[in-house]
Amino acid sequence: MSGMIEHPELLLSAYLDDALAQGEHDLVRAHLDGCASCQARVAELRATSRLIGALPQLAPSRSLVPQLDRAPVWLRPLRLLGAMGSGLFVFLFLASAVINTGSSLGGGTTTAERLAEQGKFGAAVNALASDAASKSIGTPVPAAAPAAGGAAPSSPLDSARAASGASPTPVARVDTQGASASATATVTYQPPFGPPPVVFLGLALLCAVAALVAHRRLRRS
Amino acid sequence: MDDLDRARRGDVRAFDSLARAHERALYSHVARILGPGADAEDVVQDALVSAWRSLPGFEGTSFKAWLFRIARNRAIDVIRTQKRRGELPLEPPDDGDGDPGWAEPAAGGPELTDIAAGHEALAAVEAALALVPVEQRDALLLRDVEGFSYEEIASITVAEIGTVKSRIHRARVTVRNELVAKGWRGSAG
Repeated sequence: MSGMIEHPELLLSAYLDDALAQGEHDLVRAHLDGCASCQARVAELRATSRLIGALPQLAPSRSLVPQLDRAPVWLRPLRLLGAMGSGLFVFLFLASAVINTGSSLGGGTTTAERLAEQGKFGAAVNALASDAASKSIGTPVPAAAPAAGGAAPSSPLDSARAASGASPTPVARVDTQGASASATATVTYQPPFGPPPVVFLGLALLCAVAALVAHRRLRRS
Repeated sequence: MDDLDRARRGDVRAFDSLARAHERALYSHVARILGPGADAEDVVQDALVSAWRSLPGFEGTSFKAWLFRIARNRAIDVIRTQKRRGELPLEPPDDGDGDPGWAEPAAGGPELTDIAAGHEALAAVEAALALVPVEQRDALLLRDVEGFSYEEIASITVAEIGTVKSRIHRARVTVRNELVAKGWRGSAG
């Protein structure tokens, strides 16, 4: 026996960890001052504690953090629809642009112009009227201005205008210039149907943005 | 406002940050109780989900201690279930007064107090820990690895402070005895 108490074996770890009440701590310290055996035990317990504390952290095979920020279930279909819609509207934009370009370039002027160049003004006007009427079914319709020089009868143009409910805006026009017998005929059309191409482009961009936002949100989750 | 305050207000990202900070420590502790693998991973993940759900009611001072309490309680539940099913052998009660004793070291080995924390020594310590009864091992790891105070360990393990002292001491002596049995020489020898 050494010091004021017997070997305080069960208190040595708590002493080591400074977890004893002050009175107990003082008693154990007083014992240790005179007990080499207990001093050695404290040293070994400290060494054991340090070895245990040096154990490396074990690594799980996967992330254990729960996915609390899970993306809503509708986000995946939204991404798909956005991408598909974007593609569709780009296609419609291109198709609409091509159709409009074709109308303004080809526009039914060829036949009328050829006839006019040949001096057949009446036939040219008739060709204009019939071409204009055929291209404007169900849409605002081209009208023809009266031909100059009295060479073109007005009745075919009037009937074409009446048949199509045309606005008074002159969309088809035949100009002849007197003695030179030259004539030009120009027909300009509005797009045959649907909204202007820029609307499709806007919708395509909107769908693309929606798809992109949905994609980023899905990747984050 | 720190991550804990934000998480308590329902900020998922703040909780995610907290969970990541404690994920490996929780897994290491649970894996040394249950054994590494899928069971330990499931316990930690369930504990984190449970912590998220219970977070608004958390009023303690140590979030880490609270997390460990949830995780170790789940781990102990798993062990009890496995014992009921006969998947684990029954252990003697570890809260008694029995002292593991102080094994006499063999001469010739290295001094226990001189052992560096090398790979061989750590493997021996891991093996020795596996022989310590679960509740003692739990308390010892919470103290020596995680650095919790005895009061915190009492709170985490829902035990009296005297029980905690006893568990830690007996677990430490058992590990020491196992190391001595492997040839290390205690300085007292």
